[in-house]
Amino acid sequence: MRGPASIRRLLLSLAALTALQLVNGRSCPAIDEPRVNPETIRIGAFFSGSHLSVSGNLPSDCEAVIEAIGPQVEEELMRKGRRWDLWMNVGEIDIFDAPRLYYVMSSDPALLAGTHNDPAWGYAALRKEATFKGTSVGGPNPQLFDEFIRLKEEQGLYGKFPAAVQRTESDEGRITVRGVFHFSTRVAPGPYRVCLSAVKEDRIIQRRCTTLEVSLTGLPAFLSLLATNHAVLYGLMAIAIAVAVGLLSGFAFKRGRKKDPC
Amino acid sequence: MVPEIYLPIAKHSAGMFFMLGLGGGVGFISGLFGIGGGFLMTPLLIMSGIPPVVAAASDTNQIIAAAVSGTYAHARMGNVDFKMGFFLLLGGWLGGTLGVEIIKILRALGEADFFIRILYVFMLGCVGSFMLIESLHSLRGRAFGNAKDETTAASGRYRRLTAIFPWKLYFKSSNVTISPLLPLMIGVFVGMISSILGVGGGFIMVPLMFYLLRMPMHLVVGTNLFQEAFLCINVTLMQAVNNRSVDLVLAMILLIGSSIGAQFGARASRKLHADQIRLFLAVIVLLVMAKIFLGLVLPPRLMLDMKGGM
Repeated sequence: MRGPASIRRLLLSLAALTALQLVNGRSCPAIDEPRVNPETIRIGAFFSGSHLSVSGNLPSDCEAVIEAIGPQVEEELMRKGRRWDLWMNVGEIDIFDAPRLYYVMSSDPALLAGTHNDPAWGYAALRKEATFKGTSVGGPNPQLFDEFIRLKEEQGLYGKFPAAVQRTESDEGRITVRGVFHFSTRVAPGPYRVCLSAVKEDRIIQRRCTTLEVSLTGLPAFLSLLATNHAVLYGLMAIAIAVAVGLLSGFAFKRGRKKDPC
Repeated sequence: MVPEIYLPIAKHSAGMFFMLGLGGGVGFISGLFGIGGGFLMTPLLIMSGIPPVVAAASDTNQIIAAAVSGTYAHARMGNVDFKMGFFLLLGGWLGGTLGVEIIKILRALGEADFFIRILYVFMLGCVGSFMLIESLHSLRGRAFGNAKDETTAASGRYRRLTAIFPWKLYFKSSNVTISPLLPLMIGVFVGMISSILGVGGGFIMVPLMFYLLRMPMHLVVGTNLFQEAFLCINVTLMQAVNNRSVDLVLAMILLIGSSIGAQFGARASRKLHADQIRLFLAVIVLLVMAKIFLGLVLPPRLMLDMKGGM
């Protein structure tokens, strides 16, 4: 049961929050949920990546940060090292609480320059959340996260794009912001978040997010399901197709040779 | 715009014409030398961004088509010794099972990666160097006609070696009389090595069949493709069921390219002399060995990698 002191603390916190909202509201009115197009990325047989357009409205005195964030999954990594003067995988590292995909873009290039103190966006924000475990982590190691980022950027799953958000003047002291992400073909199916943040004086004033679905469709969806749920059937089908193609091509070349006058 | 196709198990897209070309090129080499081409295709797929586990499994799947297509072409020309192929196949299955157990132990000791790479460099280096020296020597001997004495001495050593093994059998197609234990043991050895390295093993099997079983080169090619087709069928099913790592779309693109390439390779093999075929194969084997060796000694660009490349 809560005592009078804790009720007083709760009321004070509520009052402080209301006051903060009022102050924020004066300098930066509420922003709308970002609009994304398309709302679902479908991975079909000829998927070559996908553009995702994100737009929203902000007060004109705010800068914009737009993020596309994938689900957080445990990822198993191998660390390379030297052993007997040879380079090889020397240990396993698991990373927790880092999104599978992370793209970020800003209207002001300085917001992603890495010069801000304790920013709540970009790689610096991810660094605070991510944890590494494994035999070859060897205590706190800031380089490990940088290596992880380099790997993800190489795969096209992480990216930062300073000044990629375009601002256009709207009405009543507001601006429309718009940016386009290009999703790599390595994007995995699942639920993603797209967030628009209004930033003023290096702090996020407001942040609104919307969901984005990435799903398999057509032949990839069928084969993925078959390989996962009916592995024996899938394996036999793979073998049957290979044998049939091998025999057919052998037969086709035999016929071709018969017609060949040489 | 270059058309891309989505690979549902590798979980990303790849250039369709690039993969077709890759399959065609390796298929040609496969048909020419009578090997599955796994030692060449798997590293090439990994270099083009396919996760290693998917590359190895899908490659095994596509080798079936190249091997069946090549076997069909060679069998029509009478270039397959089915009896010898049966013993090699039996040994290959036994050796493959043994190799899987060895890998399990090495993984538990944390030395699997190191062992596999070193074994790759050692095996490719030995086989490639031996074949290069032998084929150059033979070509020189053919040109100057001075290889007769050495051939006679080698035949004597071979007779002494084969005399050790009991239960002699006559292999009519190959025109050799040897103990079936010899092809069985070669099968066990190659099956073990190839399951550890994750390849078909043709690059080891072909020289062993030629040098130890004394089979004519044109029969070596066809017979190896015959036994490799069955081995790859077994591995594909195991990979699909246990690891879910066979990418059917990738395998289909590769196999279309490789089965066509294998036909051209099989035709080309009839136009080349056995020593020339060995010389070309030796150069390719040594180039792949050099690539893997450089990967061991040069610092990697990235210090982290996804486990299994996924």
